[in-house]
Amino acid sequence: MGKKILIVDDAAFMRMMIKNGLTQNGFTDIFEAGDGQQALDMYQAERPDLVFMDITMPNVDGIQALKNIKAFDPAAKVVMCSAMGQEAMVVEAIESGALDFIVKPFKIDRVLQTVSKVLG
Amino acid sequence: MSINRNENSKLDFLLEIGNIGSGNALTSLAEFIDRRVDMKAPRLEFVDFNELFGSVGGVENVVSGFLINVHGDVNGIMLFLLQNELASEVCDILLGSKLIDLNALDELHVSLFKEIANIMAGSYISALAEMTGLKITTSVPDLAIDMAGAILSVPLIHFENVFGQILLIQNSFSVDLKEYNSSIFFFLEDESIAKLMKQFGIE
Ligand SMILES: [Mg+2]
Repeated sequence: MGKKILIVDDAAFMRMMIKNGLTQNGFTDIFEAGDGQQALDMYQAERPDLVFMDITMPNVDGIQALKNIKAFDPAAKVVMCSAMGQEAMVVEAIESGALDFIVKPFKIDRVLQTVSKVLG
Repeated sequence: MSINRNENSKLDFLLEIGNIGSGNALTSLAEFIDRRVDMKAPRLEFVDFNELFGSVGGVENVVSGFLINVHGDVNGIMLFLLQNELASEVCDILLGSKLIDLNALDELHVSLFKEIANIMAGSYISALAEMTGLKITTSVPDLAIDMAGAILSVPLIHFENVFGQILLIQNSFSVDLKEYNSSIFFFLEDESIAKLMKQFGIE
């Protein structure tokens, strides 16, 4: 494996849930960020292969963080995970370069499917 | 309060939004905790500021309150009141330990509580956005654990002059046969209500 994954969510519980699912499936290089600013800093430092990005976060929200990361690295692979699953939000995320959009609440299998689809 | 025809269709409209929104919010809660959640028909009514405290039974009950700002094409505030017993049950289901002391919450518990509110409010607001084609977002929830009366006084102080009517949605539901109640106070600006109604073709 050896792929780096960055989990961005202001809720420690959600980060833990996704992280547990990933580690149980053999991923060991997992990084976490609690808001959109930390996400960009962490992305620049670690250059992860995949980012899971929450939208509703303090300071810099996930849509802005997505745009910032894509501006820094147009090849960045970012998947949104949000309870704001309305169509307008999904469209904005995809237009801003997100690969996929997972609506909360989700089963961890949905995250794992996305990981194998994106990282193949 | 005298209600003309126009007012009546406004009330019907907002009640319908409350109905669909609560259905979605509770479905999301069920998926989040992976348990069967059975709900009764929600009770919906309009209250004004001086009726706020009387509208929830037991203002002295200590509850978990979440304040969420709603913005975008629609502006307002949602205030969720959840019974602490429900919060404790959710901790048991998802973290494997019941909550003993609500004054000693660690980061994990706080984030779990907030995420419940985030997911419920998110699905509620998404239902509203999908129905109207508007773009509406929510803020990160603010959590307060206090007497219901104390939590209600926060929007009371700040928004008395901004919001005339408040939609109160009370849900009764059961998780694994245990009964719970939750209240949602939805403060919407008049301009936003008009915008929502226009999207539905009601003027
Ligand atoms: Mg969040």
